[in-house]
Amino acid sequence: MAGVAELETCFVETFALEPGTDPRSLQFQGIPEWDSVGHMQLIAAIEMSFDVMLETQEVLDMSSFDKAVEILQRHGAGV
Amino acid sequence: MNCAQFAERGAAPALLEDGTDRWLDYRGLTQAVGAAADRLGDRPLVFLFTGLTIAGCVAYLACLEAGAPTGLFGAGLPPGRADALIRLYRPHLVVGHAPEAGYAEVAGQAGWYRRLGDDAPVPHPDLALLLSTSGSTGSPKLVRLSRHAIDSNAAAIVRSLGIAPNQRSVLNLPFSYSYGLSVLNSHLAAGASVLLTREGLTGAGFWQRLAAHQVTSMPGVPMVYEMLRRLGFENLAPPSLVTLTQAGGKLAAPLIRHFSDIMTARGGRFFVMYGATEAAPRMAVLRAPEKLGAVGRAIPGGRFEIEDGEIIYHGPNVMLGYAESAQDLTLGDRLSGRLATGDLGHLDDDGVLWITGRAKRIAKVNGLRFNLDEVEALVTARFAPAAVIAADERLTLLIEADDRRSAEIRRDLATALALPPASVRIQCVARLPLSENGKIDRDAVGRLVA
Repeated sequence: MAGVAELETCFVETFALEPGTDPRSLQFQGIPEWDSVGHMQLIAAIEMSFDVMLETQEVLDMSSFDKAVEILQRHGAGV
Repeated sequence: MNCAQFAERGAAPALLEDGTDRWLDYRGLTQAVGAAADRLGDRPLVFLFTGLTIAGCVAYLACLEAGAPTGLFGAGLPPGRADALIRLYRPHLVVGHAPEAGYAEVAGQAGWYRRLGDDAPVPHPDLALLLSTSGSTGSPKLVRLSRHAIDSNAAAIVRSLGIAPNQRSVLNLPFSYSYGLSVLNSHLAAGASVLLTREGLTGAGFWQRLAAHQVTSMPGVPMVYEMLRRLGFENLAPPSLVTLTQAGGKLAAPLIRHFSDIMTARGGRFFVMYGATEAAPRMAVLRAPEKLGAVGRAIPGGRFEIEDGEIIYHGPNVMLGYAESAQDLTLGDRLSGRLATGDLGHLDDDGVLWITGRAKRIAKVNGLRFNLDEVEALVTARFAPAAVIAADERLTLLIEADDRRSAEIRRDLATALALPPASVRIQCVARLPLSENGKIDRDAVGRLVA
């Protein structure tokens, strides 16, 4: 599951997560770094890493790590 | 904008905050503001730390009503910043933050702290409001504004944007930030209503709330418009939303065109605006797409002139001056309505202002103003000598440090500057490039981070 590790990297890099923080535990607006601006930066990182273009509704729905996996799978990305 | 005016509006809605669907009407607002003003006493110097809440609005309005000079700050300041401000300016009363020492909580007034010593400064009679010049670098320099500057600017904004009582703005910018405060002031001055929310605009809840409460107007800094274009604003905006305003930095012409086209198609309006905290804050307004890329005409009561390329603004909304110490709060008007903006530009034959650059090393990232020299001083004090460049909505720091420390430095600075980590880039070098006179070689820095 190389894709999952890549998704984790997107979260860690975007939010500058401390070592040991599990990206799976995070929610939109659950940490100061994941605000609207951080969200769009996360989306940009994910789109670049997985070479996908997300729709408006998908961007709004991507409020957790698991949601991101689910949406990327719909796009046929290997996660 | 005062209680007598508010009272006349009776049951018209005034404010709504997160977690409820019940509007506070103008009658209720009048009562709350009047009661809080009565408890303030004789013109104390108040420092108010507040988020986007009705309680915060009421405290701010009560201070204005009571004639109490007020420093207005965000609730989420980096650690130590609030206490540093309190130590420097020695306010009589602190609201919304528990000072580390020298204050006692006022009986029956949770969250109000009164100074124990009698060494608070006696502010000048004209002083009404103190705002931070920079949202984030920890700069303790404040802008001193008079009541007349605030009221005249609110009235000028009402006229420029045509704000009517039936309009309703969402406010998701802190009102310790001058743009956010001007949205609140202008709508209350017009008898319109304001929906305060901390919901992020990338969440479904934000758009549902706008639709449910028939919001007509929305402000945004350039970063917001970048996000809205990517999100697909036209798919999200409820039909009621017909006015967009933009301030807080220069918006790229293609984005102005994009949103102006969308709003025209919706039968709405898109305004680009120019201002500065030092002007309480609005100086110019332009309804796009006229003169695409310009910043607009001076607001009613104001005018621009160009001196040696620098934009000079004249108007009743210009600050009294800066404050850098408690002693400075006793000063009166030092500027006589004339503000040298530090921006470079020209006026065209129709009296429309165009900006071409900045005289000072000031940059805007994420809608916040950064003095790059202050950022460099802060980084140097915390870590090691550094040079900073602002581009593409990011601060890039060239720093004399080991690469292995870059993640830690980035985390620390993002917190200290109140920026999202992705807006801070760290590039480690062994030595900063210096020019012959020993100063940082800006051209070389530019080439290194390119």
